[in-house]
Amino acid sequence: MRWAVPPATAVLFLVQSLTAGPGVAQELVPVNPDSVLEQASLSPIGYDTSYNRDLSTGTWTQVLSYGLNRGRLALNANGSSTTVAFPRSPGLGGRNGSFGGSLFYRATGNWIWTLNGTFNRVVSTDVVSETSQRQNRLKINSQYTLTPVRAVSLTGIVSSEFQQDHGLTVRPLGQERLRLLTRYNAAGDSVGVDSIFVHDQRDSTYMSGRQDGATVLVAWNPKSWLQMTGDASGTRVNPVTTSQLRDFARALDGSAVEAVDRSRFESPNTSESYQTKVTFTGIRRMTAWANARGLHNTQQYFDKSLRNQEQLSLDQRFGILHAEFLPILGLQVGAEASTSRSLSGYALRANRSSLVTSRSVTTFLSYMPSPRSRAGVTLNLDNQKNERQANGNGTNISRLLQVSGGHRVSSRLSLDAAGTVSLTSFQYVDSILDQDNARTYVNVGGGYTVSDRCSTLVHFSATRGHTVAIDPSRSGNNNVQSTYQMDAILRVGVSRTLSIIQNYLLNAIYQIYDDTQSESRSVLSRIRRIDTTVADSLFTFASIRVNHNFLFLDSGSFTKPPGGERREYNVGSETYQQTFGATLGIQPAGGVGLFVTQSLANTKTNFPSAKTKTVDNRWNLTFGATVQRSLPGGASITGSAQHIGSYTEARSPLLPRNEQDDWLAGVTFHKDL
Amino acid sequence: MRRGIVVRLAVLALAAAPGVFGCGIFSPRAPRPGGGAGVVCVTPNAPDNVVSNVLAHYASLQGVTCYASMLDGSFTFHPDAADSIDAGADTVYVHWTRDIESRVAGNLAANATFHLVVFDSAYANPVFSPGPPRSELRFYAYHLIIHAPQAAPDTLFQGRANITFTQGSDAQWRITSWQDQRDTSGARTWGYLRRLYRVGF
Repeated sequence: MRWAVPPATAVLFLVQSLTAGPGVAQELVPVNPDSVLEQASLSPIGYDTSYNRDLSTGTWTQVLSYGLNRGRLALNANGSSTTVAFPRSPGLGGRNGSFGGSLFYRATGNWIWTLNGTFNRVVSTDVVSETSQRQNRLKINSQYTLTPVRAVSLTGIVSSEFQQDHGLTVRPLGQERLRLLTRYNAAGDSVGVDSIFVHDQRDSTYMSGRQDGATVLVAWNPKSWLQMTGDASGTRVNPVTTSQLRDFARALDGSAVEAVDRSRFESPNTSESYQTKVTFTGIRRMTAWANARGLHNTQQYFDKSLRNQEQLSLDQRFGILHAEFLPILGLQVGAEASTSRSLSGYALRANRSSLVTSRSVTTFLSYMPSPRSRAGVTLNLDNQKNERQANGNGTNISRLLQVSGGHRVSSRLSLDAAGTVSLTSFQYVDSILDQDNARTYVNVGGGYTVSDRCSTLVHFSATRGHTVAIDPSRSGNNNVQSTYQMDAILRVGVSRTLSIIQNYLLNAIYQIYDDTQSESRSVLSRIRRIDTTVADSLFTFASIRVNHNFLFLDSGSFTKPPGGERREYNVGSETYQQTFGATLGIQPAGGVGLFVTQSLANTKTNFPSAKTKTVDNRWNLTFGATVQRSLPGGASITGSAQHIGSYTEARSPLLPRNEQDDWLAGVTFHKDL
Repeated sequence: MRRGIVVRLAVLALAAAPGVFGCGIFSPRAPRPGGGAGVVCVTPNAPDNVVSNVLAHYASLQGVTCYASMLDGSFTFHPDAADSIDAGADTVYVHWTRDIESRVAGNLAANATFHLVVFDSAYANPVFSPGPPRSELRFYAYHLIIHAPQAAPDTLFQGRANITFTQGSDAQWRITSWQDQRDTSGARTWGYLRRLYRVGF
């Protein structure tokens, strides 16, 4: 069962990928002719269609792809279409479509021409508004690789890309907004001001331009122990954006008014980046490398929310030094230091501008003398500084020490331990949000394996977290949270087909406030948890699984009584939570499965002080089928469909039963043509 | 030889350890004197408690820590698709995790002079998953009134929030997913408000 909304997430990522503005740094990645031109093409045309419906989203996707290899020529093309609907929000939805193609041609052994085209459209709609973005790109690349002198490899790439973006937004404003329109006479002098009340907007923008780029990659291996690589690239585009912004309004006399603002922008965008890396292996058992990167980028794009042209400039630098040494077999020590600087400046949304500088150092030691023993220590120190921001300026310091180790005492018994100490410190210019979070964690345990089918693991852990707000206005919430926990897993294979798995957990969480004024808010929570799964494959075509989950939770105040020295626990609530479920699975034919699950979730809560209790029983029946089959004619189908029905027994006729009646499905059909 | 090096390294590590800890690099600072009483942050033993903390403490300076503690480590925020398109080349919504959400909430709280968060109604029945882990997906219609210089001139933010609550191994409930959607009012969404306060991270 899927509870998140992956199709919506997919829409988001697609949107992000489609809305990259003109002049965005686009790496000219060199093409490996062997990987492109020498792929065997089994079937030139493939078609996939899939439908996914989860609890809040329905997505239908179709993909058609074509591939052809002929000697020096390779052609790939694909088109896709996605439709998204939100069953619980009628009217809300979206559509995405894309068509892309690539043509590779190897003129000579070292010279490759590439033509890439992508044509995308993404639309989001609701009952009253629509937002769409269309993006067309056509790019031609030429790549040449040569070896001018021994140990030097040189690759050059030049490219040119034609770009078009078209955006359209239609939206109501919800509430009318006053706009003042200046009247002009024939001479161009202002003669008065009209007040209109805008209720709807329609914005259309069109951008076109050509982006030219060049990249040079160099690899130099002067010695067997010294390697140097570097690349530099730059792109430049001068797109022209025209926009037509319409306001639909009413005048003071109630008559309809339409105000149109047309504008044209020319926005030169550039992007330059470089990278170099030097690797040194000249000292025995030691490897060291240094890497430096830089990016300078300026770009302009139309900000639909603010109905104006945004200009963003970005300047980033990054450097890293790394060294590791193996003094003896199994022992490795190393260190890594990095520094970065990122300056971003926004002309329109000035409060998004920022300068972030960071420094980081990591040292590590790991020791593994044999496959039976291991130990390791890592210390990480980070310092990040935010400046030139509208808010949130300050320094964020992070320190982390990790220690871990393990040893297999015998073929059956193994022991392990781990611990961390960390401090995260937020030190703002506006110190009201200053806060330090300190945390320590220790975990000790081991496992005992009787056989492949019978084993157990037990671990004990303690965690202490201290949250310290520095400013007096917030320090009343400072507290120490201590957690003590025991985890255990027991696996028993009773017979060849019957297995039992049990998880145990005991946990106590103390939250003790620092300030004596806050003593009354100190709390304690305790948990006992046992999860049991019994599975049996009755026959080769059927299996049954029974689950029982038990959880006991109590929580309440943990405070000192007036005049008392020791804290006392006063239980505020006790919760018993149990779920009992059984699943029967049958495989009537190869690649086809049927299943049915029934479960009862019971929650009982007692409030001792009020002498009240609540009981909730929720029944659930889920049935469905899965299929994974090949069909005649090079087709295949994969998917599952299930129906979930559930309800809560009403404590009184007035309370809702929270009934659920959902079909979930995910089916993909593939056909080679 | 090998044993000797290991022993030497171990001695070196042990010798360095007191230095590392002795410098106090893992010690938090002391709060400034004069602190007042804090705010009540209800133990999240049930999704209703999480909702109660969100409503009480979102955009509140004193409640920033409480709000942040209602977010699970796997928290992700998904903006409305149209808001995402509107953001254009600005990749402000990318990789929105608990850390991002906490810092955005802190920036907003420091900037807001007035805040009110209301879940007006549940526009669809909640969806329960028996688990484990147990989870609950709720569908809220919301509106916020925020007076903050950085959000001006907008003060009303309205839309729909599909929030997934999940019960962790410690039996406490936290928010694991938040899907923002526009409604038909034409008002800016919570996602748009969040966007304004993601700066430098």
